[in-house]
Amino acid sequence: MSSQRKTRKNHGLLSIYILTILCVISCAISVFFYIKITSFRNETMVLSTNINNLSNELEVKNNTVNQLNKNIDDLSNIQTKIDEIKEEYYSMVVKAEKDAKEGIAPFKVCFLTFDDGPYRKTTPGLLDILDDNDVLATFFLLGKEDLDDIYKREKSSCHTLANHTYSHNIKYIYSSEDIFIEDVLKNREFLENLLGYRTNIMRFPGGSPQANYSGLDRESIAHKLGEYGYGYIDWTVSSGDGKGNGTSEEYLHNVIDNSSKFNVMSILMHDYSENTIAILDEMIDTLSSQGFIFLPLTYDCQIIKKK
Amino acid sequence: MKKTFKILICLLLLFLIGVNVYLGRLFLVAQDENNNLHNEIDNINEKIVEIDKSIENLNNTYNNLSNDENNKDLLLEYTNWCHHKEKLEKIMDY
Repeated sequence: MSSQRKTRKNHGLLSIYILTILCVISCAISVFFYIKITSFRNETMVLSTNINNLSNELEVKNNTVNQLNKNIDDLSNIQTKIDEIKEEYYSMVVKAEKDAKEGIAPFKVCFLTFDDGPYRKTTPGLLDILDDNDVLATFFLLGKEDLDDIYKREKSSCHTLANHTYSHNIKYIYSSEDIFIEDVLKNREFLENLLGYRTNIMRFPGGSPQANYSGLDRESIAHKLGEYGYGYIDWTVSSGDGKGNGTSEEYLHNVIDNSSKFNVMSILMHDYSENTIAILDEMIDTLSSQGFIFLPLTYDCQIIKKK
Repeated sequence: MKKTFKILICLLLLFLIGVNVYLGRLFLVAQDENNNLHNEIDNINEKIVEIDKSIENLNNTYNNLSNDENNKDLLLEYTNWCHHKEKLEKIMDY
């Protein structure tokens, strides 16, 4: 009996030990879980912060990609953008000319024009002066080889490039209407191939009366050129530098003495004239002080004759 | 007395088992959440690597385009037109 009781007592103690050990193990597991969960929570916070930072970085990089795509798109469509801005600019030029002519603008309009260029020796200096004065002009160009850089500079500086025939050989071009037109179109093709720029304004070499002096019909030529989309212009005031024997002061006076008569005027000058270039700064200053602004010609200007 | 003690220990054990089950679930949820976050970070890092490659390619394309002589001239021309347009707009503001 006592041995049975002893055995039962031992069993009771054993089960208490086992239960106690199980409790201890459970506690240990609980502690393990608690530590792990706490460590996960901390890690979660760190990971969330990392994700936020990475998301921000991703957003910045996405914006960079978008900006680069836009820049590439802009660059690929740069010619279209230039065409658009030119159109807007020239419509303002037309309005400025109209308002000045009607006397409703607080300024007068001057179109500086330079014939017969470009010249390696003089044109770059002339362009420098125009750049320094932040002024745009119109160049009536001939077709000349090995001066690509100057043609390109005139174009990228936003000056108007116009047609003054390819050869400017008076005897040759005024020998017949067809030859004249052929020479104008040859120059148009030359400039278009070089610059991707199609001219639609021309000036007769020697001025439009020269056609009549040479026995041709100016009106008929102008009509035919009109069919090719051309308008033409002579000039309001000439500096007189075309004759090549005047002084700088004479050229300046030729312009300034006549400028007060006009609200809108075009001035004839030549690329090759060093005496003109010498007084160009002063001419621009003086005309500015008389209220003139300087604009490049565009086909829709009233001063351009269209047939 | 011994019996009561045994019952108490049993109850304590049951309680601890309950606590462990609860903590176990929390542990699994936290582990799952962390795994998801790790995956998310991996995904974002992959995207960043891809975008870095794109940026490099786009930069090269842009540099090639802008170094092209013709485009350089056009860019200069565009900048000049913007300047002259802005200038004339101010003059025309009457």
